[in-house]
Amino acid sequence: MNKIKYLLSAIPAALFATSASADISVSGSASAAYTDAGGNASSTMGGGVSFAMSGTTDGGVSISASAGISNDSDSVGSASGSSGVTALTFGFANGSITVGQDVGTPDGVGKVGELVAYADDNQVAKTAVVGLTEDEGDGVSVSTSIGDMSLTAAYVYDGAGGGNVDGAANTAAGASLSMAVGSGTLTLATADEDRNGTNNTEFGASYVMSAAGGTLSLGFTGTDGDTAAKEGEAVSAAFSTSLGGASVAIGYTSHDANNQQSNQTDVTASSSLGGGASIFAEYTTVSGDIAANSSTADATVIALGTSVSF
Amino acid sequence: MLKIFPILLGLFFIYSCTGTYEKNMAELDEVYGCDSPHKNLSKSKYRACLAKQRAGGETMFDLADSFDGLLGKGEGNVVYKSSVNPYLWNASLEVTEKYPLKIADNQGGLIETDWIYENNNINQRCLIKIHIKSPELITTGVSSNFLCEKKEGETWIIENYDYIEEEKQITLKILEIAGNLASKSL
Repeated sequence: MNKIKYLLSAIPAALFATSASADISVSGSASAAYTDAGGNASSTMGGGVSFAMSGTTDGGVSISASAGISNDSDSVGSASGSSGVTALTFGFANGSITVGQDVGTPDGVGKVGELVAYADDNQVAKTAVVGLTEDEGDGVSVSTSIGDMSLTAAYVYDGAGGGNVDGAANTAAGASLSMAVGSGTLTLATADEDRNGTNNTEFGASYVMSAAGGTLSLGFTGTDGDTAAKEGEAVSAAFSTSLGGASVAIGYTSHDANNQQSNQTDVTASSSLGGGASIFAEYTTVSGDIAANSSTADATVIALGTSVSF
Repeated sequence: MLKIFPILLGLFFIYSCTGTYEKNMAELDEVYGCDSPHKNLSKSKYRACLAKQRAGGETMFDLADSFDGLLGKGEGNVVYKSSVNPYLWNASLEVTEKYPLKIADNQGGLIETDWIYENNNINQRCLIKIHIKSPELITTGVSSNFLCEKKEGETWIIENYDYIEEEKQITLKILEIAGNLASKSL
């Protein structure tokens, strides 16, 4: 380090005169979509601006945080909001620790076939859905590597976001482990939730590999616990590839919970337009034990739209 | 499960020196993209990630060119589009103007100085590599690298040291100059 300073002295001092000690970057994204649920057509528009900040301590620990202004991009109504810094991430030589208000457990790992991001708006609900209710809240997560394996663990100490470390009614914890197995990548994950004394556990597994000129994903999800409606298993599969220059994916997920079965089939296609823009199309349909169609919601929904990343 | 968490936290520190973290995360990003179970993305961040992922994909049936055609752009003209942002390129040249350049490839966006020696320390030499990676003026469109060697006997040996802070300083300076150049051109 000292040696390079000799060399750097040859570089004009003015070169570094205005260099900042921290990095702050601004990025943005926006999307507009048209959705049709059995004749009920809607438009959704949204996006946001994100500020990412980072610095490094003298000891080499990186510290990063982000804040943003957002407008929910997949709902018909406008839901604009702004958030200050909600998480701090400390990066070490071989991992990171995040303390935040939006820490989530690694649930949903096995539902690899649920692909749509916009077309599930105005879709009727599936009666059988395995999985957890708790999503994210105040907590801490740790991510590291053990050889070629990647390990992430998270603990949500207050799912209601009240900052209560040791007495919150809603808590959750989970861990996921990814590793190369054969020609693919295997991920195993488990997550527990305690919602005011109602406890459920989810186990998820996914295996992603190259096949037939594309990527094949297989997944399994099992839920066990106090909520009978969520107890059961889900199997899921997806295949994605390039077709005529477009990125195309098809996915299927079957939920079997509480002696009921609900199935979901998704198809997505997207194409880059350059300059950070893309167009996309999504199709999703649910069958089996599902809620009845209505004037506003249908079992089959399509979405067409464009998104831009700035 | 809650009791396991402190154990996992302990494992984190025990294995904090194996040095494979960034490589593994990059591999998982390739496999899972925005759906990586090791990314803790909020809903809005996931949407932004998805927009970026889709924009980085392939172009279907050359739609971008087709739209240009519909708008009457490019008819009868030969259009050359550089993959190197001119502001980042000119800023990089300005930053390295004091040094002899070994490579200045404006097609590939690569600048490499010749070896830089310092009178007070003739047993060490360094060079600067700058790579412009984007046709757009974006903060991730440029990267800088320091490569240093030390002399042992008659042999120059690569130093096993990462000049992260120095590389960051140069990148920031390039971005600053590029930003000023872009502002002046408006």
